[in-house]
Amino acid sequence: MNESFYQELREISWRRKLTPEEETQLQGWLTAHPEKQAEWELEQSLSEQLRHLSNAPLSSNFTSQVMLALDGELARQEREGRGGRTWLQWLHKFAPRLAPVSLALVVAITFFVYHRGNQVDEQHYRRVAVETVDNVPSPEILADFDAIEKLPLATDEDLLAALQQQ
Amino acid sequence: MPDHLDADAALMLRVKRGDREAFEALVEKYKQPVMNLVFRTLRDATEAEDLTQHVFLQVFKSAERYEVSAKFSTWIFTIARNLTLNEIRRRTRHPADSLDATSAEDDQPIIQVEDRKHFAAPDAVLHAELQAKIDEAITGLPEKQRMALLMCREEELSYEDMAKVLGCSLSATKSLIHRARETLKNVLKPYLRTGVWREAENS
Repeated sequence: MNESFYQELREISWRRKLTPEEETQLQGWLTAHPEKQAEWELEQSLSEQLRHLSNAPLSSNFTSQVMLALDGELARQEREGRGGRTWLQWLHKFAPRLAPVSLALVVAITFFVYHRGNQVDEQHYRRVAVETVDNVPSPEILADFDAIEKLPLATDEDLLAALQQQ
Repeated sequence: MPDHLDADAALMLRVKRGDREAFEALVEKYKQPVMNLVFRTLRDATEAEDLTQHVFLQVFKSAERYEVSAKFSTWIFTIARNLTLNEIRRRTRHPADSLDATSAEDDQPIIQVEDRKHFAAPDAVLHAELQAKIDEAITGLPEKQRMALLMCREEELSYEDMAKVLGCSLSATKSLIHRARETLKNVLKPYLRTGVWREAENS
């Protein structure tokens, strides 16, 4: 028996008690390796304690509670399933009748959106046009434009004075 | 149906077909092992029982996805572990929820566990103290080490099954168990050396 076999027995002892045969082999090995004796005893003591660890507390009617919860869950699923089925049945029944109405509705909405868009564009164009006209100076101001344009530059001051007097 | 199909897998196939009796049989068989695992992580009997119930409901709901090739015990312990981890994460996000968590100074066991064996009074005291210390030490282990150590107690699970539940290699699983045991030995050394447990068991 070697070190690896000792390790193997150790791993077995984590799960279950050693068989008499395994125990004999181990004792033989421990006699040859007395320095491992204390370690083995500690290991065994821990395994023993873990093996006898108390069960966690559990209600005596736990299984019935689970079955009750399962019934509730199944009933909920059934309700949801039925709800879903009802809606699908309704859709299946009325879909052919609703199809032409839906189509007409879509066309009407498209037309309305298009028409409304045109109206908005037209209003916008009118506003811009008015704003442009408003910015142009009065034609009266430009009445003598050609005559002024023909005058020599030196007479500008006299002309300005004359205009200011008007 | 494969020849090597174990009893649990056969029951699970019946559950797949909506057989309530088969489901009840599985609940009856696995309720205590699952509860042991969940309780020693959450440390709250009521929450642990609720979660254990949820594990079984999840088993029923997921029955459609159960593959016959998978061992049932591995499958249910994986579900239990995942739901427990979710609960731990939830508690981390809402720490105020776990008001009844133990404090480090509290020497008393959190729950009163029914003792099936009848000890003489001094032995009973020592036994209860030892039990509390072991529970405390196990709770203090890192999650994977604790799971590995607790699954080690379940005869249904081989080391390979444990590795599957934990999602790691066989050697890593053994290493987790080894490290958990080393920690427990260090913490419990004074108690382990008294041999109280063995005396109590033999009485």
